[in-house]
Amino acid sequence: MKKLKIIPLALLFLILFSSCTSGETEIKNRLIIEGVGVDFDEKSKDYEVTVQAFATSQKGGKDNAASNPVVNYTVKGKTLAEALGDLCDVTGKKTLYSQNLIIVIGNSIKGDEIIKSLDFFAREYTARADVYVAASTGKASDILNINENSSEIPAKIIEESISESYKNSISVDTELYNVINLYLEKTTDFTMPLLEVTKEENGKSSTVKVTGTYIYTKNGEKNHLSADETMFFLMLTDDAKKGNFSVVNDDMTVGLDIIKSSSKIKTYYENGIPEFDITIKCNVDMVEYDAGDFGSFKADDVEKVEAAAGKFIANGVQNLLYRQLKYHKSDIFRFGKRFMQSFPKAYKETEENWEDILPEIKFNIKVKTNLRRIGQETLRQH
Amino acid sequence: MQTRAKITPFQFYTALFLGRVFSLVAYISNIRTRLSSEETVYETLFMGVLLLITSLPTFFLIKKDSESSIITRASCVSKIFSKALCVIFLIDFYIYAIITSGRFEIFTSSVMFPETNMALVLLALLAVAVYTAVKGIEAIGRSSIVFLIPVLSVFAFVYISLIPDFNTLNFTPMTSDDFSQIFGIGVYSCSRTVEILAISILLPFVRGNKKRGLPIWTLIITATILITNIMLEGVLGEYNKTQLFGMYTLALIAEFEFIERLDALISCVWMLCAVIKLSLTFFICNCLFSELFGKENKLLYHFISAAVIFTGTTIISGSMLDFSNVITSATTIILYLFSACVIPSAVIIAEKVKNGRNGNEKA
Repeated sequence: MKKLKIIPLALLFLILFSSCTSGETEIKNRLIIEGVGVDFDEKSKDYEVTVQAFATSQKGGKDNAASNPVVNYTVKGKTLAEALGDLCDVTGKKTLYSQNLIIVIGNSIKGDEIIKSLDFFAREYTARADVYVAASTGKASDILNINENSSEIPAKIIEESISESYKNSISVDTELYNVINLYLEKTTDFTMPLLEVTKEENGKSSTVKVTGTYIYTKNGEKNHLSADETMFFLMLTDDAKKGNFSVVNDDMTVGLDIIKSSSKIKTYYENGIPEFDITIKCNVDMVEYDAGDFGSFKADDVEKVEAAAGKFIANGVQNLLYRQLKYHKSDIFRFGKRFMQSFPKAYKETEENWEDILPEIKFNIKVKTNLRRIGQETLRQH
Repeated sequence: MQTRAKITPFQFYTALFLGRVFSLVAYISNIRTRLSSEETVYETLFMGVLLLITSLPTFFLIKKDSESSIITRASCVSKIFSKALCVIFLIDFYIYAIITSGRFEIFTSSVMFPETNMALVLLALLAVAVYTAVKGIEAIGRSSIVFLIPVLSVFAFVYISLIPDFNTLNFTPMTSDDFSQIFGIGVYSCSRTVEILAISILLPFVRGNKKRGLPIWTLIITATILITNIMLEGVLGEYNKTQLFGMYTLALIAEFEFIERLDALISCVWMLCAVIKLSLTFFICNCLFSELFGKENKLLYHFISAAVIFTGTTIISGSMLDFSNVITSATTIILYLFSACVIPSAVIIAEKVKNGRNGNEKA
């Protein structure tokens, strides 16, 4: 008898605790957002938001599977919440941000407006803190409208390109929570991958390319890193995973792949000026040696390549530091934070005028390069 | 408080541990002042020491007689004293239960289902907790052991998967010599370990050596909080300061290969711990009611408790401002110090005085 009571109870549970009673949570009634592009219209002072969403109500079948799986919408509003709220009116569906892969910030949004435009995504309950944030050299809508009629999902392709670019040290990969974390650090400027729409030679199709790193500077100055500079930046900050570079000088032209890179930064404080000792250790594989003669690479050449590669990296890092610290007065290296950790009391005295201290910072760079492999060719002893 | 149903000390301390884990994951960071990472570590260690110190009265209570509850021992001193203690403890546990279900409601309505009718969710939670409590202490003890495995697994899984995101540069050092905030917040953190109050009441329901488990339990709690705080600071950095529920955000970021929704797991942990914490509260309130009015209407006592907690929660969690105004650190600190330190000490002293008098009378 006791067991029989379970049956009506189970039926009651099935009826009362169904998640789809209102119909709002049905997949076909949700607007599953894959990517968001944010632009600002200077004339109307409105946010122009381009949203890429799954075409969930599209009919299935072989033919349709090959057609466009996403739909792009553009909405406007004084705030992002207002603009995105309009999406419900336009589509008749409830927005869902948990699948959102990327937020692209257009070049019309500058300075602190970047942070303001991210506030909505930091608060919205269905949004995720680990969504990628990227900057565009042009309009954010152009990035998401790329290959609109292809069978692939542009937002997914962009997300994968950012991830690959980061692995190859061409760009950073910045997630929403990292942007806010670095923004809240008083002395740090944060970085984002920089996206650009490039036209194919035929002029018909376009592709999105990750061209380097966008820098948000607290002083509002326009700043970015090229793909090469990004590699040095990632090496310095101990974030370089892989990558490749070429060393070209009078003796040789060498193509090298980064296998492993690590860095250590020691902080000193003398005569009121912070000083940083930067040591970079880099394991590389030689993938090309252009001496015009196969099998000509000698044991003596290993040291030469290591020295040349070391010098190349050291020069690159030095130039990067010079440009960012002395020219742009931008601390993307978290030197301020490192100084804070090592000398908290001295930091407290200098944090307000950290920007003025940046050009005065002294740094010593040491690079140790190890040539791990030379490819499939033999190493001549003499 | 005579009973035949008993649980092992391991089951007992596990139930209390899960209760404290709920307070940890349901911690609303903007309610209190924020500390730097270094200060947070000191604060947690200080909390651990304070927890050990404030658990001393309970420890001595167990040492002297580990089979009788604090209420029974108070009744040996004076019937009025024991009744007064019952009322005080009832108020205490109601307040703590309202805080627990309030935090649960804020969590659910902020990050899970903001558009769902929270009253229904709250009713469902209370119904499950009441049902577990009705089944008795053995059901709570056994459920705790069963729940402990997924809870620990989820914590370990989230933390291990976040190791690549851990960055020591996110830590902030202490920039001033002012320790007052560390002490203040340490006391507040300690006062959130209300489970200590339950120990002295539930003693008759636990068999075996209960004394040994208490310091180990406080150490495990301190270690758990310390690891969580270190992970929060190391992974989220300054972003942690902006988050309503830091632990949930941590789970949101964590991903392990193709498993990307660890936040769903942490929500389960949240619910399991809430059920254990509330069912233990219902059970304790039932014991206290039984002491006050007899054991005849046990089910009625549960319904009264559920009604009080439901009403209280609905009132205070209407808005974040209401919640933070009612749940001030001063409220919890005063309640904790009074119930965990003053009352057990008063019972020990009263017993000594009475024994002394009896001794004198006999002499």
